[in-house]
Amino acid sequence: MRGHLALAIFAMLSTLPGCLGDSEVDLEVAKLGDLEYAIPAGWTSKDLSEHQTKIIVWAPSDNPRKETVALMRTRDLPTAVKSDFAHLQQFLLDTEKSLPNGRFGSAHRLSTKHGLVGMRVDGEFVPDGTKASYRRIHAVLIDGTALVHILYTARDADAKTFDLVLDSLTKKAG
Amino acid sequence: MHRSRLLLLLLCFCVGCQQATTSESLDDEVPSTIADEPITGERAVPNPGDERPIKDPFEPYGIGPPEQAIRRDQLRPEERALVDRSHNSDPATLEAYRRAVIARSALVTAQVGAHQLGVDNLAVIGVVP
Repeated sequence: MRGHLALAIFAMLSTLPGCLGDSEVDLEVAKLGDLEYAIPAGWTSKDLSEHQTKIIVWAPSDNPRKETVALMRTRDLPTAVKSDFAHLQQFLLDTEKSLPNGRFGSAHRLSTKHGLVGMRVDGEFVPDGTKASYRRIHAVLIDGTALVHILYTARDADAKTFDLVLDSLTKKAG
Repeated sequence: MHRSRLLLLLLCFCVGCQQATTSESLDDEVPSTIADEPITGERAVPNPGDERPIKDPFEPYGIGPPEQAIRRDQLRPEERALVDRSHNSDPATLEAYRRAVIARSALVTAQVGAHQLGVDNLAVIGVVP
């Protein structure tokens, strides 16, 4: 209940000029497993879930930046969630650096506004079939026995959307 | 006795090289787990002095004490031919193998990371062409 209220307040404040940075976009609330999060109003989603991994990819209807936010909730990974952060950070970096022409900085820890902890890495890569470099921000959060991935991918990046989604993630009550 | 040991070493070397450089069957294998699995007892720790550093895969194995080395002129002709063929390998071929091993290692490292994090297709997901 408290989590839901917090997300509702977050969404409401985000629509007010001057609150939560420069965000003046309308927001909608979406769910991923037992998490709720905000997404800019007007963005549409595709469900690309496979096996036990829930995958939702969001994109604006008009998308000149060619940007998306993908959220994934993995199957239970009891060993991974108990690993030390140094291991997980190295796994994250190794995984993203292997992308075509991947150039990524070091992974570092993060803690969201609502107390979820994890790690994040920023960089660029050139997807197969394109000649343009795309920005990629990849955060991994620990949610019980599973991991939640938040991927921001854009040719012309505006990281505010990524920050908005990340900071809005809230554990549902009950 | 010495010849047998030499042949055994050569056989191990050849098998090792082939597996490290040409095997494509690794694509179908589940990457090994690097992260520590939960254990119930105390973690096993080598006694001081018993630790063995990880061997550089591009360094040859040692042959032991020098007095046990077998000189080339002690080999039978067919053994000598085998050793010479390995020794005279084309440097470009060896370099190609070395690069392939490094590239393969990076790929497998990435696969292990993705497997541990429970993700796949990161080069495709979220990309708007």
